[in-house]
Amino acid sequence: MNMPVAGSQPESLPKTLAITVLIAACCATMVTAAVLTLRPMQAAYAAIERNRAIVAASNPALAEAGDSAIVTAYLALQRHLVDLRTGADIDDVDTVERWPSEADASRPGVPVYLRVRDGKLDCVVLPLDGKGMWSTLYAYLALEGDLATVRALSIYRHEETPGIGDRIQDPAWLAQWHGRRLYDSEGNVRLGEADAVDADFYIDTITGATVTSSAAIRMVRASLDTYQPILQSLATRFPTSRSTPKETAGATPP
Amino acid sequence: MTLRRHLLDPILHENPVTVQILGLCSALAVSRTLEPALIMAAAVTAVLVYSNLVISLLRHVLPGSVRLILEMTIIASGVIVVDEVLKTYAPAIAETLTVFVGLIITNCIVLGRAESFALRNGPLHSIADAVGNGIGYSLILLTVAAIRELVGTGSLFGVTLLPTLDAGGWYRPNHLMLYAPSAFFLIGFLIWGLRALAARHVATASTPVTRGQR
Repeated sequence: MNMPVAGSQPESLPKTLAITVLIAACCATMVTAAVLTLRPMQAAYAAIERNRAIVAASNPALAEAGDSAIVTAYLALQRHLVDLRTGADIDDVDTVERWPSEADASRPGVPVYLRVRDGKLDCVVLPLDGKGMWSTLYAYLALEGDLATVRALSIYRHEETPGIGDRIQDPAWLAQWHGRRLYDSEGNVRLGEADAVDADFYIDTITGATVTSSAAIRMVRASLDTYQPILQSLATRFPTSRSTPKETAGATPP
Repeated sequence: MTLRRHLLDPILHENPVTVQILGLCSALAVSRTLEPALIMAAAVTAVLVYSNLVISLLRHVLPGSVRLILEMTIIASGVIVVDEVLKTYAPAIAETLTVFVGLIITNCIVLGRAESFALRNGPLHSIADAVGNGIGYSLILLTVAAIRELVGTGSLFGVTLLPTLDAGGWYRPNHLMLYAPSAFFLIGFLIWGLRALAARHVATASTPVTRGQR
């Protein structure tokens, strides 16, 4: 149409190199500038979404509430960084994202969220993580004040198959967790057992998404062991709670 | 005059999806409902305009030996910026689009227009061509998404138009429309219909510039 097209005449190597480096530098600058400008806003939105998952676990009615209602409800929770091994408070935290599998001897704390009413424990929200089918599942589990009943499970983050594994986020599937019991009369964890015929403990997997939904159940069951020390110490701190989980050797409350 | 042709031709006569059969992958993947399809269409159009403009401006200095890799660098940078913007301002929709925003880099419409048009034409015409192709792509994507969402769920943009049986209404949704193969059928019918309408395209099927791109 007009003018010679790129590549129609031979170029010198220095010129080619110079143009390549220049274009690469311009592109890199553009991408860096965009990412640096947008990252703080993304972090803020991510924090609100995490708060939403925590609040939704403690009160499922708020799952679709506006951002400001979420932040208000979140700030009304007591937030503690608790030693996963002993259940002792390390610190009060504001907004720490830590998951139980990241806790180790040097940093044993995980954030635990309490809703306390008139000195009584209304519910406790625990962060959970565990293997899914493709990715790590991150979720929050809310227990009633008796520390033996599920209030709600809320999935925070996952990278399971879109349209299949992500059905663990369906409100209909999550709703069945409400009111399920954790322990039988001898204090053994029974929640979500594959052969649990008792409706108190039974969690249905999702047809077509068996691997992911089973993984979510396994994650919750495993976390009950992990959180044993913390649940013990909570039971001691809030003695009005009705039942206590089974006491394991060496973790006898004072 | 040619400016207008460059803008309008890709919308129907030279439509990138139905005539050039480009960009099908994303058209199949994100056309389940209208909202993500609209965002995807806007993202592809934005990347097209940006890449056509930049490559057209650089067309006399781009070294021929590394031309393609430089074009890819320019396109990829634009796509990353668009992806970040979506993640910031529409995180929920960005999540439903998953990898398909990043895959705009490999959308053959973008590189196809850069190679076959922007390298040979000035910035103004290149922008017109990009907008035209963007609209052409969007038109097909939105048509398919509208049909899939309406027939598959009885709603448009999430607003219920045909109350479904599950919700106590009368409409029995066709779940086939929620799966990717339905997009194949719909795009197939669209290609058939549009080509039958403009039968001259079958006769002169070898349009010189745009053929041969995949």
